[in-house]
Amino acid sequence: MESYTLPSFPPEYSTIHICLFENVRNSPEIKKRLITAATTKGEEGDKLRAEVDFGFLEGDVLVSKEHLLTSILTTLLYSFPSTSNSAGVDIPNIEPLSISSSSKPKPKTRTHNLHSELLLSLSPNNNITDSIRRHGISDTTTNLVVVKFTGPHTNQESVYQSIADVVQGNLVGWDQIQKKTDWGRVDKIYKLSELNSLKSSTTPDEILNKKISAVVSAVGIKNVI
Amino acid sequence: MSSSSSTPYSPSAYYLERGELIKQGAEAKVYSLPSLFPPPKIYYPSSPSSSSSTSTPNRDGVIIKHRFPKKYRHPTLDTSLTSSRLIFEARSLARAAKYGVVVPRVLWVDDRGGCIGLERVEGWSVREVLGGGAEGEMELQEEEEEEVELYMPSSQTGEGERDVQGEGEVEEGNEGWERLKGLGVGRDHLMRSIGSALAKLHLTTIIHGDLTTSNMMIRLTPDSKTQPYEIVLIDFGLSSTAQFPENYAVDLYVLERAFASTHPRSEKLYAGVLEAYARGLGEKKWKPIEIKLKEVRKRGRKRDMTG
Repeated sequence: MESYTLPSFPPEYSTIHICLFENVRNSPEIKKRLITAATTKGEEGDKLRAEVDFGFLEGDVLVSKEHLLTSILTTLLYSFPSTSNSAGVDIPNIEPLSISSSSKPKPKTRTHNLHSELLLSLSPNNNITDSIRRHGISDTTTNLVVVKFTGPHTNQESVYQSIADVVQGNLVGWDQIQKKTDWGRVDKIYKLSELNSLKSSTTPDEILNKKISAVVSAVGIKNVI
Repeated sequence: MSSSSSTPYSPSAYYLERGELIKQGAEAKVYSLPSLFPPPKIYYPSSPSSSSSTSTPNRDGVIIKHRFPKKYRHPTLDTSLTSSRLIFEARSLARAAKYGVVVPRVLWVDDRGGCIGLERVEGWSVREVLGGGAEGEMELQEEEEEEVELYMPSSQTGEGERDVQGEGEVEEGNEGWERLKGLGVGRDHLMRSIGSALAKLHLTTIIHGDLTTSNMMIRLTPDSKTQPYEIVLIDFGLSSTAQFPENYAVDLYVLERAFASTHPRSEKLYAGVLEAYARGLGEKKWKPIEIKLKEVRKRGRKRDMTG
């Protein structure tokens, strides 16, 4: 698990924990739990939701760690947009965190929460159902990415434990992600067929590089398409 | 602009404060940062098999381009102009990338905050490598402000230092050119690469709008077997999409002038660019542009004389 703290966003959501699992055995069960949690009302529902309050992403359609990190930035930028373009110019006391001084800032989202917003930010269009189907966990998911937004002072071990309580699989390092990519699906999602038909002088490695660039940029500009 | 929050807030501010200013023009300031993300805390419960080392050879470097507020415009107009230009730049880059043109990756789009974050291209501009004349001369012609001239030198030394990290050979002259020469790349080869990069761009119907030798970077590609370097087009702030041969011809003409004003014996060099460009585009598309280019040469960049 890797944890990043981004001081430029409200502290409640500024730390991002990302895990990559392989050989996940209980994807259908996780999916079922997510649906149950989402449809149960009242306190019981709150409890169920807290247990699975993570972003579950299909690992096969991520092309690199940068891809995921860019989508996290895009999500946070959408949910906590700038209020001014005077940044660093002549506001005497820039304290980006101070907006949260009184009450907990509420992320602006098009979907239910920040985690589902992450799925949407990965998708090249604005169809929420599509984004869940393509980038969310499915019954056949074996390479699973788990994302959790927390405050900066959380204990990594306990965050990981709460994830491990849900996911049955092997945690692996992020250097593995590129080996998991299913390019057939990625090509379809991001419409990269043009790049496959590039001139023959381009080597497969170069095409791969171009594809990764195209995917990362597509996610980077998601908020302004 | 919007909402009730009293304190102005911009997530980009954090980066602008920490970034190193490397260039300032009339429209924007450009900052350089090691990464958008601080180093992660790594936690692996059982097997620390995969180390904390960087996953890919360091491509984390980031450029933040801040289109700062213009005091001479009404604030509302300023916000909407800044935002729409920035969005257009971001879209152009993503579109170019989608069609396989080598451009920097877009990592951060904060349109309200006037900031765009791009992958930092490690290398040298074509101008540096060709040893183009006095820095700034061309920009002044292109109606930019004098700051360009003031800041460029510092940007140069800054880049130079970064690029030679670990090699410890700070040359006074032209490091990029020496490296290319070492790889057996001559000027003609470079010109051909530029030409075909432009052809690729134009085939996507994007025109750059500000083609100069400083807006083309040379990035070495040690992993590639086919070519030792690639041309990366940067600064799409003035880009647009073209419909007519005229638009492409003007794009080429702007570059031709840039060559003429900065590099000696440019005609010969530029002929190499055009040759490769024509080949990249194909006879059928090149012919109308060639005709237009001759027209544009006679009359200048502007179609009518009012602008």
